[in-house]
Amino acid sequence: MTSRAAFWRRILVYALYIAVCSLLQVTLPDSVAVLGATPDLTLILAVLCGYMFGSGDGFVIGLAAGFMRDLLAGQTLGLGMLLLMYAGIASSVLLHRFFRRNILFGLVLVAFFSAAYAAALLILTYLVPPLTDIVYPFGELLERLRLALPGQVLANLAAALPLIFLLVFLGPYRRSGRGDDPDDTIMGDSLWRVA
Amino acid sequence: MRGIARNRIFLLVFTTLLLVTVILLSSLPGSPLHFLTSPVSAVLEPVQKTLLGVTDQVTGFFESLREGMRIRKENLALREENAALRSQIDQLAEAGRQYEALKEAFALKDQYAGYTIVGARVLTREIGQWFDVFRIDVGTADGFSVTETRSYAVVDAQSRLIGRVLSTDLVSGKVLPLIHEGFSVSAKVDTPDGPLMRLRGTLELKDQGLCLADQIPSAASLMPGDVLVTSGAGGLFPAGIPIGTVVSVRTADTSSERQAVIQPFAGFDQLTTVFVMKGAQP
Repeated sequence: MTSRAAFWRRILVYALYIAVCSLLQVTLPDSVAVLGATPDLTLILAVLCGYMFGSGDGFVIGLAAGFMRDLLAGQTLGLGMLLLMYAGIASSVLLHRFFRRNILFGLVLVAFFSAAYAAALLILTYLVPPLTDIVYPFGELLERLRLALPGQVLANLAAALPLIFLLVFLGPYRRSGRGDDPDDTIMGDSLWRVA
Repeated sequence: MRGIARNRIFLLVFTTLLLVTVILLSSLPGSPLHFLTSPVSAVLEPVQKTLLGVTDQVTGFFESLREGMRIRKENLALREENAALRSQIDQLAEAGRQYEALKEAFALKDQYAGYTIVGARVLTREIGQWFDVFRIDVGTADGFSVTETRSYAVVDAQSRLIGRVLSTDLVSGKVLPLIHEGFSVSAKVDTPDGPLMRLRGTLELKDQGLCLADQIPSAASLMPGDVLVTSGAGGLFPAGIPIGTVVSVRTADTSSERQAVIQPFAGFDQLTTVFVMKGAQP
């Protein structure tokens, strides 16, 4: 595959994944909820792209998925972009640097970032209350987080597993086509271990 | 290598600052930044409607299987009821004609006579904290433009309050539901000279589909079962839109002020169509 064809493959596949994930996320009925939570597909996509394909991809996919998130359900523009951009970059830096990329650590990252994302929103709600004259006690926010997090993590893990396989086998890169990624020079590993 | 790292850090810092600016600017009511989303919204709208249609059909298929037996029994009962209602229709038609005549005679106005009601389809559902508004398929192209001083009440098919329009782009708008912690409206008990109070959403009650009334006058009588409607104070919402019923009255944790837990009339789970109330331009 020529580099030009590979480039367009990346663009088209990523565009498709972002559109499908974001639209599904805001359309999924409550009947597919796990412990009251539906999967946060845009967050999972940003985290997995960062982890599997490096910080550049994590950065761009985080921004694009965040834009769709803001567009479809955000109170403001930019918040989703900011959060998912950092999720994409951070996921490329964490386990990626210390472990060979594999499914197990991909799932660990999804669980970790589900919790980190919820914690970030909790802090944001505490620092920037929606109504200026209303104070939200930190304990109350923490209790909400404690109740909602298990379901959210489970729902995200359930959705992450098929998404990992999709990104590996029907992803933006051919399975052996990641040798040119600067991130990979750190690890000397351009292949994804599926098993 | 060090140069690449420096560039990456610069890009990250620059993007972060840019996004923080975008967040601050877009949080201003009526911000023109919301129009940036118009091209994407225009492209996504037909896709979303198709997806919604497919989802509705799939969900509807399974629901119809589940509900089939129940509906058959209900149908029998309804047939009998239908026969009785047919005779009532004739009587009511005559009553309606009399009402129109009386209304004209007394120059009685419709409750929301100054408002245009526009139907809208719900395109998306909420997806968690800070991303918990839903989108509808009306926007500035339909004449709805949100500014710092102008928004629009959103009601359901029975004219019960759902929320208000938060922002609009060319073809879509975002609705802040009344159980959202950022929502507040002036309400009153639905009685002549009913006491005024503030109704708002809270994090604590949102998950239960409830909201809170506070700033209740100390001398006001408020009992479980009382009905709250919009007061019309502030001019954003017309007076008299049904909001919900008082479930319980309690004392606030941090002060001696009374608060009431409100069960909204409108259901938010299966919301597919809403109506936006557009008042006369100021």
